[in-house]
Order: sequence, then structure tokens, then C-alpha cells
Amino acid sequence: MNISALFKPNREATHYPGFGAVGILFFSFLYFPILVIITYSFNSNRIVSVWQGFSWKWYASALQNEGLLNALQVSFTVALFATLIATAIATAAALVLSRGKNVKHAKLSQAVVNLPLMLPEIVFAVAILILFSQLGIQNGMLKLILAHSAFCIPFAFLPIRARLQGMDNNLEQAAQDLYATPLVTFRRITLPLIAPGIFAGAMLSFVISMDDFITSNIVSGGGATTLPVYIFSLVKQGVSPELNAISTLIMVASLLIATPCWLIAKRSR
Amino acid sequence: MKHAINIKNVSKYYGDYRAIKDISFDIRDNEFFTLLGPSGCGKTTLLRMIAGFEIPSGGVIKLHGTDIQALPAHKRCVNTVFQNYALFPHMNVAQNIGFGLEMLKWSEENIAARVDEMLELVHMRPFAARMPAALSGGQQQRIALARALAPKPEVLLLDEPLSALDLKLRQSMRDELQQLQRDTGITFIFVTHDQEEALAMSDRICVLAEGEVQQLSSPNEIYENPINKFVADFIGETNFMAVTIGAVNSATAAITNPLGIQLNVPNAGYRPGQEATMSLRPEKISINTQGLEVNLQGEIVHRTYMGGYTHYKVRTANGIELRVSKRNTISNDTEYQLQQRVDIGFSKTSVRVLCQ
Ligand SMILES: Nc1ncnc2c1ncn2[C@@H]1O[C@H](COP(=O)(O)OP(=O)(O)OP(=O)(O)O)[C@@H](O)[C@H]1O
Ligand SMILES: [Mg+2]
Repeated sequence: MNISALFKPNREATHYPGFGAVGILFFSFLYFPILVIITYSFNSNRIVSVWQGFSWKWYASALQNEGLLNALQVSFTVALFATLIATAIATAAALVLSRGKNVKHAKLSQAVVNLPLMLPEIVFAVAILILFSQLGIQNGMLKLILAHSAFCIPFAFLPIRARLQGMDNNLEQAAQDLYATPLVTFRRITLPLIAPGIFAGAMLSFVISMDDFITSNIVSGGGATTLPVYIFSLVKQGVSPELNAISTLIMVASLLIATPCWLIAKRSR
Repeated sequence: MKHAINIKNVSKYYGDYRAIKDISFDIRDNEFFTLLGPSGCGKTTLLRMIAGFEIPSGGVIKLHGTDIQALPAHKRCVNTVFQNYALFPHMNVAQNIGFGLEMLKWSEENIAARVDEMLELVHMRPFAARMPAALSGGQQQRIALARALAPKPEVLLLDEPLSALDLKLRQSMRDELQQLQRDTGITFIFVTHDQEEALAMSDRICVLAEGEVQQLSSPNEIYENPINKFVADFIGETNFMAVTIGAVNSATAAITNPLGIQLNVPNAGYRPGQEATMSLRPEKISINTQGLEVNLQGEIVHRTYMGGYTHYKVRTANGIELRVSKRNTISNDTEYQLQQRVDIGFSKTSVRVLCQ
């Protein structure tokens, strides 16, 4: 008798009847709407749901839409700064919480860092709106950058801390034993070894910031509108074929950015 | 005598737990010094305090006469071979070995020359460009050693560096380490819980238990004249018997023992009626050999063949079981059979009487 067969998991999901059908249904449900958007973005008809013929014109008009380009630039700038700020703070927090000796209230601090993940975003958004008005901050861009930096911190924090915890802390002691000052130890040992975590955290922050709607919408007064907020305002005016083209463009851009990131992350593992 | 390290009244608390209890001893320059003790006795803690990773709760540690209390780890001329080697995974072998020299701002040519010298020393020259993950355990161990030796430290600390290696490799590394210590003349402080390793390599051994020094002596002294029951038990094998001190005069003390033999040992301040333990090593007892001071009759009750020697258990006429080990000096030497009646004998000077 083949003993090893006894140890094989005998309840693999693929063995259940109907697995294939359910799978197809699931993926259709997930991707069919996207497929529709992509298809109809090439529709020459002004009425979205009636197919007339193939055309690039909505792409042309989207790329000439000043409001859209403006919003894209705002989103990109905010995401860039928010990512830098959040990643720097998250790295510092992760270092203290996983390497610091005798850190008081380490558990509590960690919970506080992660709290924005648990909190409903609307609560966070309202709170930050009140804070800004109390502080008298008017500049729309500044408000967006500060707010985004705040809610991106836990997203940057988690992968960095995971990387630090997986790293042998004898390595840092070995470096100090070999006459490296704490600063050099960080630069030569810790940083290169947690770089994949920092990279993952930064990517996550960037994507979360680009994608954010609730907070951006609430704090956006002051002349700065992000892409999701701008798109939402278009939707309110009714779904136009141009919107389909914009959505398709964003999707393509995301894929172009995400693929190399994914490849890098995979290689560094 | 010049001292590499002075440890004076050092203690270490982890919270309420006292890991090191007011320890004092000196480590000589250029010696192979071993800290030996069971798991959890505080060996690593002591080493980490010397390296600067842990701050003593009390007491003074001096390196070549200078108090190093205030020096952080990266300013102490002490290097460590870590138990898990701790090679930098993102640097190749040569970069690992050169790291300390780079930190000490050696010139590039000097670093290259020293790294080469170190690679030669540990027989790893062909591996200079390898990454640590692509090395075997024994090879990693050599690189860790080379890395720690490269900056010419005043003292080298080794925390159980051989424990991850298989038996054969461990034995050959023992000889290499000892040779390396002689060649470099650097003081080695070697931590182990393996008594064989300690006996084989050390100039002096410090036996620790529960954060306290039990005995500090040469390997021979530790083995032959253990100071208490713990040391006798921890190092090597032995037969223990509960004994009572009988008549005592200024020179000798009579020992009342369960073997029922007449035994007088030099008086080391014994009081009549005092309870004590007698220790007799298995290899000090001979089977069927003429001309020994003490002779007893017994019966073989257990036998374990070990290749180079055979362990027997012999039950004497008064029911005491003694472990006896016999070297197999001639091939197909007489193997004593179970239940065989034998004469056993030993010299009275082989007996040790321990009071604690
Ligand atoms: N950071 C720490 N916090 C609390 N207790 C500790 C800490 N480090 C060590 N100890 C305790 O101190 C005692 C001595 O530990 P140490 O690591 O020095 O033992 P060791 O002799 O090296 O043992 P082993 O042979 O198992 O490595 C142990 O009882 C251990 O539990
Ligand atoms: Mg240890």
C-alpha cells in the first residue's frame, strides 16, 4: 500500500463537484463590469449603452480634459509626498517597536499606529477636517498631503515591521561588535535587509493614497481636487463614454506600475 | 601575570531574576579560557556583558586593566563569533570578513591583504565571492571565525561556535581552533556546555552553575580534583557513594563507606560524623588486575560496548553497583559476560571525597 497517499490532503477544493462552474461564475462576476467599461470606452456613440462603432475619440477628449489632468497631477503629488512621509514615519516606528530596548507601552503604541486601519474612514476624515479648521490650515494641497500621510502610516508600517521581525537581530549586534556605530549599522545592515519591506510599504501607501475618496472628498476644499473626487463629480453629471475611457486609462497605468513592482518584490524574496 | 580580562563582583539581573551572582575571576592574556556549564547557567549573559551587549547590574569588567563599563560595544577591542554565526546575508564572504576592517578605516589594499590572509587561515580562499546562504554550516562557521579574527581583537569571544556542526566536523574544528589560538596569540573566551570540548581545548576551565563559579582550574585539575559534587558529576562520569567521616587526626581522616573498605584520605578540615560524597571515576577501576590496593568481588550486571572501550556495571558483594569502563586495547580482547564473577580493584588515591 502506498503510505504517502494517506498523508495527502484528501479534501482539495478542486475535487468538489461544480468547482469549475463556481470558479467561472466568480471570475465573471469580478471582471465582467470591467470588461464592459473597456469595451464601451471605444464606443463612438454619445449614449453610453448603445453600441454604434469603434472610435478613439473619447480617449482624445479625456487626454485634453484640463480638469482631469489637473486632478491627476494633484493625486500624483499628494500620493508621492504622503508616501515619503508615511514611509519615513512608519520605518522609524517599526524600528523602535521591534528593536528598541525597554520601550514603554510598546503594545499600546503599536495599537495606536495601527488604529487608522480599524477606524471607519469617515470618522477619521471628519476628525481631521475639524483639526485642520482648528489649526487654521487653508491650503488644499497641504491638507491632502497631511491627511493622506496620516492614514497611510499603518499600511507602510505593517510590511516593514514584518520584515524587521523576520530579520535576525544578531546581525545588528554583529555589526556593532565589528566596530560599526549605530548609524552605520543602520545604513549598512538594517536598511539593505529591510529594503524590500520598505518598498512594499511605500507601494501600498502610494496605491492607498491614489485610491482614497472619502478623506480626500471631505478635506478637498481649498482648490485641490484628487482624481477619484474629480471622477465622482463626473459621475454625478451622468455616466459619459469619456468616463469609460478615463477608467480604462487608469487601469492600464496601474498595471504598468504594478507589474514591475510585483516582479521586484518577487525577486527580492 | 598580565590579565586580559578582570571580572570583579559582577552580577546581572533580568528583572527580578538573578542570572549572574556576584562573580569574580581573571582571564589571563593569551589563554584559551572556557566557560562551561549547563544550559541557562549564564554563560551567554557573561559573554554579552564582556562584548558590551548587556550592562552588568553591578561590579566591574576590565579589559587589559581598563574599566570598559562606559564603552559601547562598537568601541571595545573584543570580537564575537556568534552561536548562529550572524553572517551578513547581503554581503559575500570577502565583504563579510572585511567589514570590521572597513569600519576601522583600514586602507583598501590593507583590507584586501588581510581578508586574503584570513581566507588562507581558515582554508576558504576559493569561496571568497560566495554569498553566506550558499555555504555549509562548517564553512559559515569558518567565515564567522575569520570575520571576528580579522581586526586582530584583544579578546575573541566564542559562544558555542561548534554546537551546530556534526560530530566529525566538530572534532576537527576543535583542533583547528586550538591551533588558531596558538598561532594568533589572541585570548579566546570559549563558551560551551560540552565538557569533552572544554577538556580538549582549554588552558583553563571555569565551571558555572546557576550564575555562580563552581571551580576555575586546568582541565586536568577539574577532572581529577573536582571541588564539589556538581563539578564531579558535570564533567565526565563517576560513581557517587554517600559516606560518613569517621576518626579524624591532624593528617588523615577515615572514611566510612558502603564498599566496606578501609579508607583514609588526607584531612581537608573534615569533622567526625560529617556526611560527604565519595567519587570514583569508572576508568580508575580495573577488572581482574593484580596488585591493586583495594580489591573487591563482583558480578557483571550490565555491559555496553562502545568500540574503543566497554562500559560495565559491576555489583559488589554488598550490593553496590559500580560503573567500570575498560579500554579495549587488544582486538578481540576478553569481553566479560553478563553474570560473570570478576575481581575489581582500584587505588585509594583515585577516591575523591566531596563535602558539598
Ligand atoms: N533577555 C533576558 N531576559 C530575561 N531573562 C534572560 C534574558 N536572557 C537570559 N535570561 C535568563 O538568564 C539565564 C542565563 O541565560 P544565558 O543565556 O546566559 O544562559 P546560557 O548559559 O548561555 O545557556 P545556554 O547554554 O542554553 O545558551 C537563563 O535562566 C535565562 O532564562
Ligand atoms: Mg547561551
